Amino acid sequence: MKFTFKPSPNYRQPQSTQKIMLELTLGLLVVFGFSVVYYAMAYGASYAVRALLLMAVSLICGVGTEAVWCLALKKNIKDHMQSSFPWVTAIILTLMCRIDISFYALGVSTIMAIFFGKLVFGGFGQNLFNPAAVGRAIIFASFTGSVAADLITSATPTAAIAGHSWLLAIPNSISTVCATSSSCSSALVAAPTLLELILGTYAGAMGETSLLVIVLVGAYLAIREVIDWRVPVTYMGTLFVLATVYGLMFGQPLTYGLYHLALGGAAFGAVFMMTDPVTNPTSAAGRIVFAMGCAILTLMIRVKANLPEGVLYSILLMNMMSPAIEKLMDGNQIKTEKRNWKIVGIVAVVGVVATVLCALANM
Amino acid sequence: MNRKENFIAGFVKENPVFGLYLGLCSALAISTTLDNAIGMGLCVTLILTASNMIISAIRKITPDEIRIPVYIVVIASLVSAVEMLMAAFMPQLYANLGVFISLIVVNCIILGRAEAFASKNGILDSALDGIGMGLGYTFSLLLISFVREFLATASWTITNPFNNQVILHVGLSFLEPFKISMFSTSTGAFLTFACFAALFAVLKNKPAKKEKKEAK
Amino acid sequence: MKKIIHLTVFLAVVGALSAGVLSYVNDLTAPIIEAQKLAAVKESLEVLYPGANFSELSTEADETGLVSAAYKAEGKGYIYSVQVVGYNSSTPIDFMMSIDNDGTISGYVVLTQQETNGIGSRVADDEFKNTVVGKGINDSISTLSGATVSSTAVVKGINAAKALFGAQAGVSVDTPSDPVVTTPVYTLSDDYSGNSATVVSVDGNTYTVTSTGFPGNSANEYAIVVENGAIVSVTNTVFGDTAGIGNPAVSEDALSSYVGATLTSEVDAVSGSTFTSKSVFAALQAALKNAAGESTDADTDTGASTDNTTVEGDSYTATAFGFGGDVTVTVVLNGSDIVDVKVVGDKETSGIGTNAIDKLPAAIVAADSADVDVVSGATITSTAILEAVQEILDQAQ
Repeated sequence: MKFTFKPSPNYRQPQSTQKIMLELTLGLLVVFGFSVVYYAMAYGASYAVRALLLMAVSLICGVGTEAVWCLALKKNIKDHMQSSFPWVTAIILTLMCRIDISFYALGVSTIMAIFFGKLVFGGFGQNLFNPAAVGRAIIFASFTGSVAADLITSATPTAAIAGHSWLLAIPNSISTVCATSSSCSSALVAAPTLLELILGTYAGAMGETSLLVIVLVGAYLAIREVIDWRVPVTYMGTLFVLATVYGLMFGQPLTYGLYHLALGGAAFGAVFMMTDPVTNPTSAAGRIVFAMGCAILTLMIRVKANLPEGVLYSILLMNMMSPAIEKLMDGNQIKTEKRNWKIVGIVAVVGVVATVLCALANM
Repeated sequence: MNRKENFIAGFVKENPVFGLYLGLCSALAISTTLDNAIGMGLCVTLILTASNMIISAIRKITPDEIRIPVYIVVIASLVSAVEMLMAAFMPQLYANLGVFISLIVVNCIILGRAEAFASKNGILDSALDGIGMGLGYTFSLLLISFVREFLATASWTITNPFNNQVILHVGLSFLEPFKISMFSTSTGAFLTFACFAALFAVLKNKPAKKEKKEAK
Repeated sequence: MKKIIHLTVFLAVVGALSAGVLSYVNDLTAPIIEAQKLAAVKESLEVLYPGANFSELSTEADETGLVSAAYKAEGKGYIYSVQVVGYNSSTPIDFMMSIDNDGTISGYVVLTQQETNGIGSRVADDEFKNTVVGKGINDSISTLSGATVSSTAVVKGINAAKALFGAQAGVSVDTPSDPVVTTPVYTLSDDYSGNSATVVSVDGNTYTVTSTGFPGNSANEYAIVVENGAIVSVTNTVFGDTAGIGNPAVSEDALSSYVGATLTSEVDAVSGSTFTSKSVFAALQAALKNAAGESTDADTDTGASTDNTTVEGDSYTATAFGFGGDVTVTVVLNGSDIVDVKVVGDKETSGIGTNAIDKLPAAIVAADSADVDVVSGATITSTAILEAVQEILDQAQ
């Protein structure tokens, strides 16, 4: 008789890690493709070429770093790459940047992101922080001035509305949003309307502009079970609700919540970064709490802190909390269901209270 | 160990910053430029040696129960005296180091060596230990600031603390557009420190590994 | 017992010895430190007025508390050392500025700042310095685009120094307008043509007046009672402005503060509800003027332009929010043709927004519409101007 001793449960998924990563990469490339096409059509071929070159630089640096690492540790490069997927980090990081970032900045940040964000922790599956988020934080800390001149020199709509305390002055008209702290896009005479924000036909970070494309890609990936649907749905739902609460306290229109979803990296972060299974908790309830925490932090950072983008830092902060959340929600998931829902409820209440307090503080 | 080994241990094996992880907060905060590193390192060395010698001198008459308050009074007085002297004769350095001179009082290296070594050994031994540890601290500060200053400003500058004259300035201006400004902040400090600590850990373990290999 | 005495005595002796050593060192070094401080200050003073005789003045007359030291350079001017809190709330921006005896700002140097590198730190760069040095005592200084918090704080400090200069040099200084929106002084005889106040009906002493507040919102309606050229009461009957923002301006407390106001009275706008407050003022003005028998047709007002060239046609004024503040646009229409455009926007960034103010009017007249390209690099100001022009064209139809 042959006895098989393996840790239970002996459950096989139809998707292997390789396949999941491949589909994720394809989804990211679709978003990137939209961006390249937009830049080609709105600004000319040179911009599209620049976008492609930026992606190439990031990929080369990311894959190169891991290759050097393999050589130093005398590992087989091919095997390592197949289970380490550095290109995913590189693509996500490129998509988070604006088109006028310098090649040097992107390259150095990719190297540092992969090295300090992933490799020193033990490689793929061992990292605490989302490496692309680490890379973007490095860019924000070191290279804010390192941009190519003569490209789009205006602020993104996110930076513009941030300068206006994240409020739309006139209901249903976003023209005052951009008309306060910095100009939006120099090529567009009028500032983006809500429709343009959703479609992504404006110049912002390369991959984060189009809510529509990201949602479609996200839906496809969720159906294919590449990403866990709970995270983006919970995140966007919570952000929408909290933003609406905040907006109602300031007399904003009911579409205010949509603006929050469409501006900045909210949708992109929700679909591609918060769903990273390495850095978020394993249990479903844990992921819901994780996503809600991200949403609360995103809103608070946006309206209260003097930072242009809250999604990035909320992801990094919640990554820090993932082990704690996981420990909290641990256990037989069927038995602990009641307790888990209680925790979700508490987090929800905390979120609403925090939003109201922020709004009161801002008034 | 004998005096020579003890002295050298302060540089690599028992390097206070990279080996023993003592005195980190000032090490990370000060090491933005070479000037600051040299200045701070020399200050700490001076105070460490002096305090070691004084504490070693009174070790036989200090009652055991109040030894810690006594050490702290000694160290604090030394720091205050050095601070006043610096303010008078090296104003630029004093301005750069600022609050961290006062913080030398609570620098773990000083109290740690006083407790671990000076209270149990003769004056000469304690003095050498102080100098060794202090130089090891300076050495590590120099390493960190060498990297940080280069990455953040693409140049190295050393000035005379007494009259603010620039002794040495190596500026690689062609590298200016490639500066990584993060390294002049605490984030860069931590990253640099982490890399060096890893390097030193490797160096520390090399002889042990070698021995293991030979034993096999 | 003996042990405790022994411990205490030992500790006391150690303490006393340390104190003795420290006081000796202090005696040795204190005078040197003092001399150095003075020398250091003199050194930085010399940067601004080399070779002058300096004497220190008191900063008592400075109400803001931002000026930490004032010096007079004999025969040349005054130097002020100012500390303001910018973006970095733990380290203030420490700068010195010199004002010549005739009121021109002759020097500006930042001594220490820990603002965000590349963003707020620009207040120490030549870019900002060149907008400060050379300005007269009553010239306004623009904030830096992209470094609003840091530069706003510095401009506030400069204004404080200017005020102190006024007091010490005996020169009259206009109360400089703070770069942040502070409630400016309004009177009821100001120009409120942008609020389109119209007297709808008169019933004895009660005037029903409509006026708009924030551009694009529906009009507010007021019932105003006037007697002997003064306001007796104001009530807001219809509120069409932005909910949650404009309401404080029409609250009972706010409206009751205007009782007794005449056309020459100064009135306070409600902070944060400037547009709606202005709508109230426009309505009050309309009621008072109507009571006095004057025409209150907003359309024939000559607008904010002080140019005396007479042009044929009707003149309309509108305001829009530009980059640093309101931009007031006056358009003269002959029928449906745009004949003349004048723009006033003194809060726009010099060299950036002012480009739009210089170039757009001609372009708008030439194109005879608001469908004109924005001035590159001055999109906000351009958009504001074009919006205002479009609003006028829509209204005039």
